[in-house]
Amino acid sequence: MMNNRQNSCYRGCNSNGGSNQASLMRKIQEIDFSLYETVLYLDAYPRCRAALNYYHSLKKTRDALAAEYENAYGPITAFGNTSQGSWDWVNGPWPWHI
Amino acid sequence: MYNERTRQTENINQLGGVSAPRKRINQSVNDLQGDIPFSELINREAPARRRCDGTLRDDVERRTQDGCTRATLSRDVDTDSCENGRCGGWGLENHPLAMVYSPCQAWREAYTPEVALTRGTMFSELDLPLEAANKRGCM
Repeated sequence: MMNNRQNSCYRGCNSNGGSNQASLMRKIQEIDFSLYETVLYLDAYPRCRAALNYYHSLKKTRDALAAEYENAYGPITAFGNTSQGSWDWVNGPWPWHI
Repeated sequence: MYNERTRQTENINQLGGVSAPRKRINQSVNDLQGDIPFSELINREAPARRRCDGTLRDDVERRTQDGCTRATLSRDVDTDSCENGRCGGWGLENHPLAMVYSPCQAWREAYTPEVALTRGTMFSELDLPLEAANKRGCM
């Protein structure tokens, strides 16, 4: 049995994967990596004010970039599927196809 | 069952009123705690750790309380401060072999997100040459 999510071509083939989309996703991935690094640091040093400030700075940028991406290209993750009438998550490319 | 609360209730009944019983209750709480400072109380709770040869270790653990955080520190660990690029000493002298340790990491200016993802770490002090001559590990 093959459903849409198992068939990665369904997502990948329906996207034109423009360069701006790839560039935007790359920025989000870079910010996400630094966010995770900061989270790990804060787990060990939760009272470090400098790290906390950096976390909020990254998070603000991340939220803005993610909103820009999802408005233009659809959900980044399945939880970003905000449409009540359709399951948009399967219409875009998988992250590794961008 | 006769307990401390029962005794306090009896005191209240005997003395009547409001102000006198409250004073008596406060006295009983003070009796329970005595005049021992909190710092000494928590030191008393610390177990005396011994080496395998039976001698007492000099780094007896004690509990410290700082605002909403609670941590168990070794007496010879200075601080977990991240400020000014300084780090407390860990006092690892005379510790046994093959024990895991994790030095304190001071917060420094991080790589930009672009560089961090490329290097695989955001921290320059963790950007180590683990790949030498295109090979991992010791050769």
